[in-house]
Amino acid sequence: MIELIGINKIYKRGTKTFHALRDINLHVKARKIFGVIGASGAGKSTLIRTINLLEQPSSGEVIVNGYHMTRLDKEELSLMRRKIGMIFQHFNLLSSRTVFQNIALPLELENSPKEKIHARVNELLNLVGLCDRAHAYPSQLSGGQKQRVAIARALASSPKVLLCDEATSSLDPQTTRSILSLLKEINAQLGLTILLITHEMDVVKSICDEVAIINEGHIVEQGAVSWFFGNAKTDLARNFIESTFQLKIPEEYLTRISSEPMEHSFPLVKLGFTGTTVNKPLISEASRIFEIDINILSADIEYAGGTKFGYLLAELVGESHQCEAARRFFIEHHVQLETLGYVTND
Amino acid sequence: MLPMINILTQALGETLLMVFVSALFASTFGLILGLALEVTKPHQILPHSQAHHLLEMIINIGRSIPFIILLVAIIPITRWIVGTSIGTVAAIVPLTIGAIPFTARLIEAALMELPEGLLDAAHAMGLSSLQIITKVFIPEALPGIFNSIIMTLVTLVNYSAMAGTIGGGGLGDVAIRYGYQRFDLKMMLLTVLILVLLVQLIQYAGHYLVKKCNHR
Ligand SMILES: Nc1ncnc2c1ncn2[C@@H]1O[C@H](COP(=O)(O)OP(=O)(O)OP(=O)(O)O)[C@@H](O)[C@H]1O
Ligand SMILES: [Mg+2]
Repeated sequence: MIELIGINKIYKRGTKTFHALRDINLHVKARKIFGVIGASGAGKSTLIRTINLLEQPSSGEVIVNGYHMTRLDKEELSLMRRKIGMIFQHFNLLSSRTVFQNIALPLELENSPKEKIHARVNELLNLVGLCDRAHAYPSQLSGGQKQRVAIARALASSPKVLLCDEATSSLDPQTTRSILSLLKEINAQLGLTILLITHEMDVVKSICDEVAIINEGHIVEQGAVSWFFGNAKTDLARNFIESTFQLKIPEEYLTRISSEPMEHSFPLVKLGFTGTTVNKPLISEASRIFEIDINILSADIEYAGGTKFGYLLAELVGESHQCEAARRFFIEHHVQLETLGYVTND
Repeated sequence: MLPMINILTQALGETLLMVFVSALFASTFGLILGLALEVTKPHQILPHSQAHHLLEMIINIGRSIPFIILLVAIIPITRWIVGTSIGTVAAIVPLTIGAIPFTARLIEAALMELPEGLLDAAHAMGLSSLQIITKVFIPEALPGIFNSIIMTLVTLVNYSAMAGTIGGGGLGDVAIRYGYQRFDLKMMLLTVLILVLLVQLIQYAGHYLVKKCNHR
């Protein structure tokens, strides 16, 4: 549905040039939700804006629904853009128009008759759950409600594709979840293809089918989300994945932890389970074989796409040579093991 | 007493005519010029640096000429447009021309205040340049545009006092001729009072209008 082939974008600031996108190749399949994740300044916005040509690529091809975007003339581009919805971090609603009138704007461009506009806007208000706010002005709405209006407006001319530029980045976690589930819903109900960019792995995890990581204008790694969580190889990818897991060493432990082993101290380890980890009940096996106790402090493990992935923090309690053997055992079974320190028990 | 009232009512009529008619023209042309100034900027809808610089130059020149000089300097143009260079109607021409660059700048400022994202959204929705102007820029900047017009009106009340120079009449002229030249303090105070009330009225009505159309 969306294809980027060899996209480069070079910004010129006076005599200086800045290479914001480098040889980007991306294929977003129809009816899928594709996420592009990257840190601030990685080129995410630039990337998504080349798709509807808000930003003209310096080289490369943008193909949406079979049309070569860069080869369209001005008028054709306007018509094509109406079939590509877009929502933004800051909503970009017209403050002078009510909710109803904002959603009606794209329909006015098509010169639809009044009754038809009315019916369509009501249908969209219903879809985004804002029937009771039809005549409110955007300034009277919450952030989540504004984004719902923006979604309704973007869907008004029945686009095939929806582009989301950090659509949930200025919303609180709960509102983020509700907007994401709305996006998932319209993806399923209307068969819409969605490309979203974000700096939060949680967004990718909760609704995306596929993901690509962008860094300094390069796509570093991409693949199906289920594959990605278990198998991504780059450090950047691993960091993003780790960021979605909330592991905290309990306060009380922090006071008893030291970086070197001491008398009566036990190792505190972080175990990472990924796609390559041998799929066996490793914790209880290690406990049995080495006659140690494994005291789990915190764990965040999920099961997706046939693999288990996640992290846990555990204290290995036992003879020090046995603990050492258990650590080797985990590593042999492809568990990522990191020793965070040694905890003294007194 | 009666002649004084007659003089004042006639002068008020002349002031109102000069101020409102020239404000109407100045707002219209100022809006067009202000829009042109804004949309020809580099990242705007119709980028055109030569046109932009030309407009900049015209507006800067227009704003730097003292009104009293403009009033006299454009007498030939005034005569060509209205057939005469003397009288209330003739005064409308320099008042309009004097106010256009001022209004254009204010309207440009009102347009610059619009959030950048609006243009992205408009482009993404497939609006043409003309649709962006009529459906986004003007309605979204309307409170600012009204504010610009109010300021233009007040400035024109001020400028119109100088219209006496070319026989335009009006309250300012009465204040100068009776008050300043003949030391008629009562007449002067009265005209000034009326001018103050007029400006107040314009401000109040304007604020009301701005408040009504401002949903930001
Ligand atoms: N118009 C421009 N002119 C010059 N440089 C630009 C321009 N727009 C973006 N850049 C540069 O390109 C790089 C990528 O910008 P982009 O906005 O795509 O980042 P991003 O990944 O969306 O970041 P963020 O998460 O902060 O929004 C940045 O280093 C930015 O400074
Ligand atoms: Mg961005």
